[in-house]
Amino acid sequence: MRVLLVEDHKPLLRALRQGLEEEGFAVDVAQDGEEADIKARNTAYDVIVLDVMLPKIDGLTLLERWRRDGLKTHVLILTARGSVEDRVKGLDLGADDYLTKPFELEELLARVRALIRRDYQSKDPVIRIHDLEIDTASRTVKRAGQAIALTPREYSLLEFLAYHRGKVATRTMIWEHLYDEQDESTSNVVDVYIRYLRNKIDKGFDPPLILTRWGEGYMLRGED
Amino acid sequence: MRSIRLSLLVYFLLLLTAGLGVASLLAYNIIESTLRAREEAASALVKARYEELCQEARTQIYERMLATARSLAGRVRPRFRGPRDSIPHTHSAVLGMLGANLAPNAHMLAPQLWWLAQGYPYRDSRGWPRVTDLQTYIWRRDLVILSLGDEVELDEDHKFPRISWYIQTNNWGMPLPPRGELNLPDEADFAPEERVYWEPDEIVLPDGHKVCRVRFRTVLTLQDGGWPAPPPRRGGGGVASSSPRPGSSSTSGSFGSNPRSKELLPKPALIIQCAARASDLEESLIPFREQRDEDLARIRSETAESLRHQRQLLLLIFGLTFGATVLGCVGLVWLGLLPLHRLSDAVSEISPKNFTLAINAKQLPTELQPIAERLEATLDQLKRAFAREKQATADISHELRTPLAALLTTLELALRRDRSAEQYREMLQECHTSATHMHQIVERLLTLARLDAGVDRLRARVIDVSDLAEQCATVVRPLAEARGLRLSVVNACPSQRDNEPFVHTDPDKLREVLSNLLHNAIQYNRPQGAIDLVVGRENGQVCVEVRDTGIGIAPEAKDRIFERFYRADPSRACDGLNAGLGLAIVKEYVDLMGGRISVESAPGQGSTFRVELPVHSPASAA
Repeated sequence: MRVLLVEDHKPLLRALRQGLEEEGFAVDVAQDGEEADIKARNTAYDVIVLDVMLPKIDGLTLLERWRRDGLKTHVLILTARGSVEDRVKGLDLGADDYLTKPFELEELLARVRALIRRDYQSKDPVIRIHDLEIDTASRTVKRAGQAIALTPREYSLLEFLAYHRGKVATRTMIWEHLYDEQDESTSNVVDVYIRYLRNKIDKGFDPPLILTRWGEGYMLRGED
Repeated sequence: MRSIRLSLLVYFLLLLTAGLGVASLLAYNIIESTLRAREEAASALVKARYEELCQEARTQIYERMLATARSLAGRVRPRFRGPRDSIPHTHSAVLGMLGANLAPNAHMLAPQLWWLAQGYPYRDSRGWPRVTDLQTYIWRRDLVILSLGDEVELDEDHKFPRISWYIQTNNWGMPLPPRGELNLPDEADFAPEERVYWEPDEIVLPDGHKVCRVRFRTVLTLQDGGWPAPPPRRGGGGVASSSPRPGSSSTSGSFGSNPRSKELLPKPALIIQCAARASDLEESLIPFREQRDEDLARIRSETAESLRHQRQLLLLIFGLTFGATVLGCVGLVWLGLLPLHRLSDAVSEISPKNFTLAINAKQLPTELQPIAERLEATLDQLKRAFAREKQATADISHELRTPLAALLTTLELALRRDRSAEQYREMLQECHTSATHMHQIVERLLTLARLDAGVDRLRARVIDVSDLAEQCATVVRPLAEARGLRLSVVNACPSQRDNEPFVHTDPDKLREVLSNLLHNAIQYNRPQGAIDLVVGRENGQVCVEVRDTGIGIAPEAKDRIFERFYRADPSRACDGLNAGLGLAIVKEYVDLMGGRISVESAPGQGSTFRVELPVHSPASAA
């Protein structure tokens, strides 16, 4: 899942970025309004974490413009202003969620995950496909009751496929959602990680859940 | 503080009571004096009427007595016609009849009777004549005075008891000793030439009774024989000899033949005195007096009644006027206080959430308009102060929240999993940066709080501003050079000693001011820009200018740049130091030092901050 983090206070930016990355998100950052605007319009982010007070263009103005132009990406607003009017104003302008500084990192992560689930019309944090269980809250995976240890990147890939289960996810889609702007790798790396994931998920289990559509991409077996 | 309404009412009522009281008293006095005057006039009239009645009664008595006297005279007069025999006894009966005739008038004259001398001699035990022969007496004395007798017992034979009478002497010195001190008039009192004369008077009898008397005098005319000559004068007090005797009168007829004596003698006159007891007159006056007293009492009571009525009327008028005026006064006071009530109601609606005065000052009376206007102005200031305070609280929390969020997030992140020592060090470093940032903000807030509380004092001494500027430049120069900026200090003072930039002020605060301005100049400068720190003297003041070639300040921001938490750029600066407090502190410090700070700038043209300091700090001047 790819997140755009817009924050001009560098220490906070660094901490949040690290926290999100450690949670398996691909994180792009922007330090002012203009940069954020450009990135948000050019990349399909799953969630944008947006600070309100920004140089050049402030967060609320940005949000207003995006919503006016039809950008539907989930936006979580971070602000130091905690008054009710400020929150109402932010939500009225089209924000999906709102967090007041200071906040718990865990809460921010949970809210970001919730926004992503909402993106895929899923309210249950546990995704079940055949005998595979993906707990998106604790980020744990079980198959046939057996816990499977995944790296964050592998988990992200599995989660992405699970959210798109029954549908083909192209390499580009996968790459775009799982890798941030600083990643030097190409979409071939997706094939590598698919192989890792198959080794952990499908090997020794039946039926195989990760399917390959040649020339298109990959998909997770649907409910059929 | 008593209520205005009550005070006004009390004062008004006091005034009203005093005014009405005085007016009522005056009116009552006027009415009373008028009524008294009327009473006096009426009383005088009654008294005059009474006097008139008294006079009438008296006149009536006197006239009656006069009539009696005339009648007596008329009856007696024929007896004096020359020498004759003694008056026959029958004559006395006539007189007695006369007396009896008078009796019906007893209500005025009783129990007195008029008495004429009886025709027989009589002597009392002392030999004084009590009754004498009138005719004889007349012959001898030429003059007879009859007078009222009083309470004298006569002999039992007499038909008219309780009669006394007096016979007095004539003018010739032959008086009979009177029975009392009856003061009879001299013959000379009567005008002799008049034939008939009468006069009324009042006398006191020797026995103490007061009587009204009429003296009637009539001259006797001789028809034959003339008047007898007077008897030879004898020693005074010869009472017995001079008393007439019955029978002696027969020898005295020769008197009338002596013409000389006739000429010599005054004409004989008959004097008749009639008298009535004054007490009778008084008694007769009793009804009049009673009437008079009754009238007077009636008039007095009428006056008193009128006065009482007038008093009641005045009291009624007083009460009605008082009541009506009190009602009117209450209404007026209510009406007068109505605008105050409205203002008070409007003021009571003011709350920390509503600072508007719910009344239009123009609708209030002119007396209250200044209050309402002042109130509105004060409320406006309060509203702004509240908004400022609210804003300041929000700003402070806002400024502290971002570094706090960074600190907490970094700490949480560090504690999420085991990390290498290098990672921990980095994270601790981040935490330190955030905490330092917060510390700076708190320090600046404290500085401002101290300035607001007035506890920050100048520790002034004489300093050379150009030296101080050089020191500040030295401190910030590495930072400026790191950003590729050129920082130069210019001393624009002439070289004369007197014009050197010495200032008596607090060097720490001035250093803080200059450092702040230099930091801003570095922060908002363009790359490869320049900063000039110019020290000079102008108009007896030391001027320090910090000129940069930076982004400049928008005109609309220029006026607000010294406000707390105001930032021309709403984002926080990249280094996190600018919380919008630095210039606010600079301004407060310059004010404290008695100086003035101003800024000239245009967007993209750089800015020039100019600090003007008096040579003597306010503290030293004081």
